[in-house]
Amino acid sequence: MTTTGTRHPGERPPGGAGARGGVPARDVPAAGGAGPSPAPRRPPEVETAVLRTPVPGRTPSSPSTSSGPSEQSQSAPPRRYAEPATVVMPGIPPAARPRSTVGDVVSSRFPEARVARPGPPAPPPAPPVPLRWRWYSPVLVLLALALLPVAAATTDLDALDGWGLAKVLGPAAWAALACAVGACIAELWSPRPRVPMLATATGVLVLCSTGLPSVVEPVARFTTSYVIVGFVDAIAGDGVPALDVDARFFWPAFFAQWAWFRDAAGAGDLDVVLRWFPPVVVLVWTIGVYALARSMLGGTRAPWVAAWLFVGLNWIEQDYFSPQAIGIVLLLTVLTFALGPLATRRTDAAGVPGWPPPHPGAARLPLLRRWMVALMTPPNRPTLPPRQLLLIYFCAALCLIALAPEHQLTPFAIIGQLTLLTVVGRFRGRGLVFVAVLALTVYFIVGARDFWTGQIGLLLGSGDGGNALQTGIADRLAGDTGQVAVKLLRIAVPGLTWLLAIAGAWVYWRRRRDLVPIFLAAVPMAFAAVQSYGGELFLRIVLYGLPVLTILGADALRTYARRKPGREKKLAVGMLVLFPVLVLIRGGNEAYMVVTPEDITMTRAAFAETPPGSKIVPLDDTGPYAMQGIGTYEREGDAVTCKDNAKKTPDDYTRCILDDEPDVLLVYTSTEKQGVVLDNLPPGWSRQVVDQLVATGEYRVRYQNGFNAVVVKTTPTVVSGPAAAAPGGGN
Amino acid sequence: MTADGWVWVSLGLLLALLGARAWVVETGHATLGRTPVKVKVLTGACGLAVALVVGLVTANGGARLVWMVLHPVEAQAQQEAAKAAERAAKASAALAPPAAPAPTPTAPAPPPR
Repeated sequence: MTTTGTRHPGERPPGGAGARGGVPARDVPAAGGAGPSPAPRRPPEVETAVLRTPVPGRTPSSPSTSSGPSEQSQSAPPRRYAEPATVVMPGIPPAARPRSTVGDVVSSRFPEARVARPGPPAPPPAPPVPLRWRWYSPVLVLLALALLPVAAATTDLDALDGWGLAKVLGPAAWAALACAVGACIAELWSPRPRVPMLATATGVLVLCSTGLPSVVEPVARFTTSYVIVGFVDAIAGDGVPALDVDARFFWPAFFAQWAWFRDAAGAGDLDVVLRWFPPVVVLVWTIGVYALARSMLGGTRAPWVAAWLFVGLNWIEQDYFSPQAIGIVLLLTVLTFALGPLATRRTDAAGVPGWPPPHPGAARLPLLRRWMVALMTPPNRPTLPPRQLLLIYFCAALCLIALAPEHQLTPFAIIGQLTLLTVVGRFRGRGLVFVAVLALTVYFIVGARDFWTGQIGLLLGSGDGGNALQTGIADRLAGDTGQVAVKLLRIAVPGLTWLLAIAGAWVYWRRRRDLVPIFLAAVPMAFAAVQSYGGELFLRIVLYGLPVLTILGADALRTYARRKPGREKKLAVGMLVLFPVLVLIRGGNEAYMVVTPEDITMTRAAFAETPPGSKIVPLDDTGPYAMQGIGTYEREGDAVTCKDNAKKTPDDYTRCILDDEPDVLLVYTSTEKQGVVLDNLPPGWSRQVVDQLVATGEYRVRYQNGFNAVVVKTTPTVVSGPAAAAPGGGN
Repeated sequence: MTADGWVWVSLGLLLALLGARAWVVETGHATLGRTPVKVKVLTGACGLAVALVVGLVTANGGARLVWMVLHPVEAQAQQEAAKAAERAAKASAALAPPAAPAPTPTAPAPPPR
């Protein structure tokens, strides 16, 4: 048995044996007795001896009392597997055994061991935890939860500007966040951290940081989430994706899934789901990161730190209601399987990682030859029963197959990461890579045929890396002071994350001689070759690597804290700073990402009062304009002639709209604020556009309240009957 | 069944074979340096299924996709031409005069005598 808990080719399958087995596998006769004897191997590191109860007339040290293969074959029929780990302490009566021992756990599973094999003596009882440590975390958690309604009531969303949500949050919101951070730190600092309490504190931390917009805003934010819910609405109507409307419909699994949920629940809309989706999905991601960190770091505290670091550094707002959010859940599931229960190492027969020379003193094989031998050598079996292994294979394969129609990029990320792990022999189940590649290929060629036959340019990309950098980073550094500051922070945080992860990779290398984790994080960077995906590509690159980066970062922080007592206090202060910065960065676009209930009501009314086939466009791409009507109403997402570079002044907007001639124009307060904080337009510019349109006589105002307005054509293009029930579903 | 349907069926068959092979490998006894016959048979069957899937996928678009990837300029020109033709067809349909009204039904012919 190796330190990674793997079995060697000659060992028996598990089922009670393995690292926890009392009798080494080599002592058990092979089934049928025909198998070759395994090669000599290094003595196991963690194995326990089985000592029988002294037999009268024999001394315990007599060779005949040892449970060697000869005696076992004579006294008992050969067993298929080795027996569980049990250490018998002669002379201790069973009744005197303490309850919480390994022997008890084993004996409950193996009745024959119950009487004869008492467990080892219990360790001395740990000193009692002072009462205050039991109450710190629960009190802080309750305090944080109690402050959230106050935070929602004291946040003035009308005052949003370029600094975003952080500027308008009341003291209660910051206090709630501080309490949540304090609850995590208090529990981690206690002498014996409780896992349920840590999990609860983590959930509250996510709610008070990532979920803060969901708490203080009455409805879901972010225009794109309403676009996605519009897709769900379109597919819920007749179950057919509107392939000619948007290329994302070629990957319709997420939309179909939620259309099914909506119909099955009898819900008319997904407003509540939309609002609470980000904190819930981030919590699920955090569970995945915690599971990964447990496998990679071990320990009881470091995995939680990794999970909190992930929450604190995840400013990339890809957790809204979207296919990639669920795609990352599936990715983390597969990665957790691969680095957890399926994890293994490719070793030689003696259990030594790598490939030693054929005999002592022999010259080392050439590097290429060593790589080839390593590549061709199957990794060892993990110490799991076969049925558990098969169940894990099944679940992992299901996730990989589900990813193919779910999202465009995520399958490539997990295939890249699994391929790396396969090449270095770190997980059992290389066939999973084959399943993933096969599912992706067949789905893309057959299922998404209309996509690549009609848009081969999108598939091949322009190959212009500089342009992608310009679009992804440089072009986004626009807006007023607050906007630029927030965006600079967004560039700085991934850089610091990578620096911390590189330090962690160094620590990991020093401890385990292993560079695989940092390469796992780097694999998604190969996406940079796919330039056609657009500016969001860089967000995805950071996001796909973030789980592993934060785990490495936690390793670096653990080493830092262990070097000198008292450093953990500095880390606690760092955590107290990190989460407010996260709120600032994530909420930086809130001025034009916020959606109000009035926006939703106005949009629904506009669709209800407009006949199908009409053209409904927003003044700019903000607000919930796309929440319904896809495939029923004509919509270009923006006035088609209004390219971004043409929109400089309100007059340009007016000209573009007059050229485009939409039937209905939707204007939101968020549109007005986007123009002010991002495009440096004068305040009131959207009202000016509406006035100019009305002045031409071609348009009239159907509804107006503040900057919100519905402007309709005086002479509508489509005059067929009312459209109140036209859009599929009830969004 | 359509050609696409056959692709999906063959993929399902391959996945089932891979599952069966995994079952045999993981529940069987590991023997150093020897592959059980059942595993060899299933590996061969998987190989055949892979060949079937690859063949069907190639015939149902794979070959065309490879050609388009290898000849991007020609492929994009073809797609642009197809889109232009489609737009022209739509425009001509929009400009065409409305169809003539259906003829009024004539009186039924008298029954033959």
